[in-house]
Amino acid sequence: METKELDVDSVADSHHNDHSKSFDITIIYNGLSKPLTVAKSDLISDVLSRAIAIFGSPPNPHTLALFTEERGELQDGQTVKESGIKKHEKVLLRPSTVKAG
Amino acid sequence: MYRIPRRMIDQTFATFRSCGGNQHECQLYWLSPWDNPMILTEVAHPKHCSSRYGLSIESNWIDQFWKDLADRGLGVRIQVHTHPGEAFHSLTDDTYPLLFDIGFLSLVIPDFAMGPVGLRNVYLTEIQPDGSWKQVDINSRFIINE
Repeated sequence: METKELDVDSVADSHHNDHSKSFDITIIYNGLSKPLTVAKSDLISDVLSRAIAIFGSPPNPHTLALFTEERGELQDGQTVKESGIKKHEKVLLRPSTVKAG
Repeated sequence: MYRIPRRMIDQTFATFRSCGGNQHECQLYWLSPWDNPMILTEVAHPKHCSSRYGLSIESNWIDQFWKDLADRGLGVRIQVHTHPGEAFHSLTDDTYPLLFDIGFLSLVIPDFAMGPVGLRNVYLTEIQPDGSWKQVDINSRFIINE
């Protein structure tokens, strides 16, 4: 019976390539723009945490989410690649819901 | 201390009255340049759905607004909205503001802004470092430039 060995180097390279495919995006929050380096394999939840941090970690950060004009609110469980974020894209850090009453 | 021109207060009341029509709540934002944040310069009127007892800002409008602020070097400093009667901060007001930054101010105007134009009988509250809201004296935060 023929068996194939798992090509550990190949898997490692693939993982490394995803991480090495880093690029800058611009996070916009209340009129301020700041660059953030992301990798295609980064989860949106991680990008969101870092985006919040570069704007000083305001209280109640759970109210904030990442949006793009084309795709709306980006989903926490997706990766940067799956979310379709492109190099130099402007990503909006903003509340999901704004209401008064 | 923010400096606000009288014309912005006049514009705020005029917009509340024309948009709300003494029937619906309305919300506005007071803006200033990032290179001179204490000098308020503009009023922004968001697209929203509203009733007598509440309002919700359109998500697509916020997207465009966020980009416009960045393009023009402006930031939101105060959100302002009307109530049908007494001015206070409701649980909804506490929970869903445009910003949760420390020092962000929320101003509530009573009676759908149909009363005297000015900052008397209003309710002003500010976000604290722990994320809670605390009522503050209007005279401690604003100087009106005639």
